[in-house]
Amino acid sequence: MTLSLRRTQTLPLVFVLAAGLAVFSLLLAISVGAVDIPLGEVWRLLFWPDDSNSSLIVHTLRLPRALVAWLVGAALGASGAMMQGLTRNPLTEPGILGVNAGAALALLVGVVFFPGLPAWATVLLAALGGVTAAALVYGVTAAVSLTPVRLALAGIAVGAMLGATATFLLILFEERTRGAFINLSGSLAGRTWEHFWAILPWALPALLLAVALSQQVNLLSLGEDVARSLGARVGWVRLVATGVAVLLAGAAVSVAGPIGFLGLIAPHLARWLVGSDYRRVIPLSALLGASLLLLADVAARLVDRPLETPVGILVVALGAPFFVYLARRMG
Amino acid sequence: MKHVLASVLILFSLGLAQVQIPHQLGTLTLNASVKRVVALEYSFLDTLLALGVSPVGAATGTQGGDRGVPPYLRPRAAGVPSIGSRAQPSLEAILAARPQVILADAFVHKDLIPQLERIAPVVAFPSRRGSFEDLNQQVLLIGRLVGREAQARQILEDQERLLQKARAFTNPKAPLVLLGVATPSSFTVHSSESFIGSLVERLGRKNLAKPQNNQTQYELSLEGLAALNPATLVLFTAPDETPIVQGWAKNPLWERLEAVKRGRVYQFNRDNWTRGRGPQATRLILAELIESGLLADQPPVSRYAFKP
Repeated sequence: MTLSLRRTQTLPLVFVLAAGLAVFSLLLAISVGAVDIPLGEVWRLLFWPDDSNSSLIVHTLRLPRALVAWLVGAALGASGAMMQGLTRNPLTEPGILGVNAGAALALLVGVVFFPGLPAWATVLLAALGGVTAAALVYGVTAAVSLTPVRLALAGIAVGAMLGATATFLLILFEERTRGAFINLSGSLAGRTWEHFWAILPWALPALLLAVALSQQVNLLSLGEDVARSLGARVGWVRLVATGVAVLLAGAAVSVAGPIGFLGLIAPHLARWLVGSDYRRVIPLSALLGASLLLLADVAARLVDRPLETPVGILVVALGAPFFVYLARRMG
Repeated sequence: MKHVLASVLILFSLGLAQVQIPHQLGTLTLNASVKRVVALEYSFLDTLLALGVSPVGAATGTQGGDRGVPPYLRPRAAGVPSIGSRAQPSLEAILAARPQVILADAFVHKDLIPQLERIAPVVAFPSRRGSFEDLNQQVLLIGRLVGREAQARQILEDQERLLQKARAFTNPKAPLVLLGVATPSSFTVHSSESFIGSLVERLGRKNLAKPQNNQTQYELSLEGLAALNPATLVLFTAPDETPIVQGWAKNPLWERLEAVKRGRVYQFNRDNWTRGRGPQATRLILAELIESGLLADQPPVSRYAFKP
């Protein structure tokens, strides 16, 4: 009781700090790169662009990449939080539910069979792939009653199957997929304003919807029976919330490729900070997800400078031990 | 006494007949030169064909996304049986070709060499990461391996004469040059220690890129390119691909590059220029280097101009 009271009192502070961290990560991300531009200079150019090369580098290369990272991180964090609430499974995230694999497979199918697809269509295609994977997982599980464990198991199985199909396509059509911009380890290198504008119309409304649906996720996280007795329209809410969570993951995968474990780490950090109320967990997961991905992307650029490590590999390197820790603690 | 002398003489003559090939993994000693060779890199294939030896198998396949034989080599390599691709050579096909020696890349085929050794002795040379000097040395050693060392020497002498001729075209005041392969997904710089980088340096055009972290070839972003700001930029692209630089050229930073401002952005076929790396490839490269205007630091003739 005292703990939750203390948490309620420090709540605004946590959000202010998280928002501050997100802004700081964004500034840090645009301050690092192949060209050494002094920090003060970067921040001045951010608000007062001029005609210099440094200004062009900040505005046409670093800023769009950082903003894409911000959106992708926020989308994956919020998506993971929603999925954990919906499945009542703390080990769930878009990767484990097969959504990332479905989105990546759909993108590969697009590249191989429908080359020349416009950028906005790829987001839709990825989301469609994610939805199909989620529908498949739900379909498989619903036939034998929808328990969280079954859902996660079906998700892992479907994800493995879709991942195998993606690898199959990669091997069979290597010539065509090699030029594909999606890289199965997840990367933010070379992302531009085009990519940012391609996902913003999907990611931003979905993020707002996720926050709006957070009370419903709270009810569902209590279990279907309790939720129903509290007056929630379980089937409908589950459908809409799942759709939003999948859309978020699909938007993220369509520009950055599948980045695993971010959707797992961010909600856990959020829950550790503010308790299990999803009205707080979902927005905080989005903020933390954005910061984490931005910081990881900064690290990915510094690890082997001037070469770049795909950020997805770095996130997995951090996320996998965390997954093992969680799994062990749960027994 | 007579006996001892005779055996010494026999041993001596055997020693003379022995063929010794020093390579990355040691020295291969053979009693005689070989006829049946499998080549796992295009530079070995190019070299063997230049020596008039047709390998019993070569990694000319397209498995694993390889792009197949470079166009310049295609007519001459048409009769050479494929034993898979460079990335995925088929051990069964190699075994069926009954080679006496397998020529492998010391870097690319590192993990495969123990298995190859069970089929035939392996000679491993740095081809993919080798410099022009390394590749020339390999021409001599491959010549020795197949009993045509004199011919190999002749090839290198002819090549040296061509190099001297080409060098006369070079403008001694030309600025540093940056060379890189542009695929649809990446731009990979070939530094002064790479095959093409060291060849172009031999001709008097100094390279802007030095090896980084012991890598002779490495990826560069548009920001990295802007940071280096080369006064001459050479792009190796494939006609069937949309290179990543096509997108970069839409960024205002592209127009700021010294090479773009000076109109010195050249474009060559990446298969011919960076994947062949043998004496035949070198002849073609020298001809195109002169023809394009790159050596003289002249604006590229239309065929070799990069048009975004």
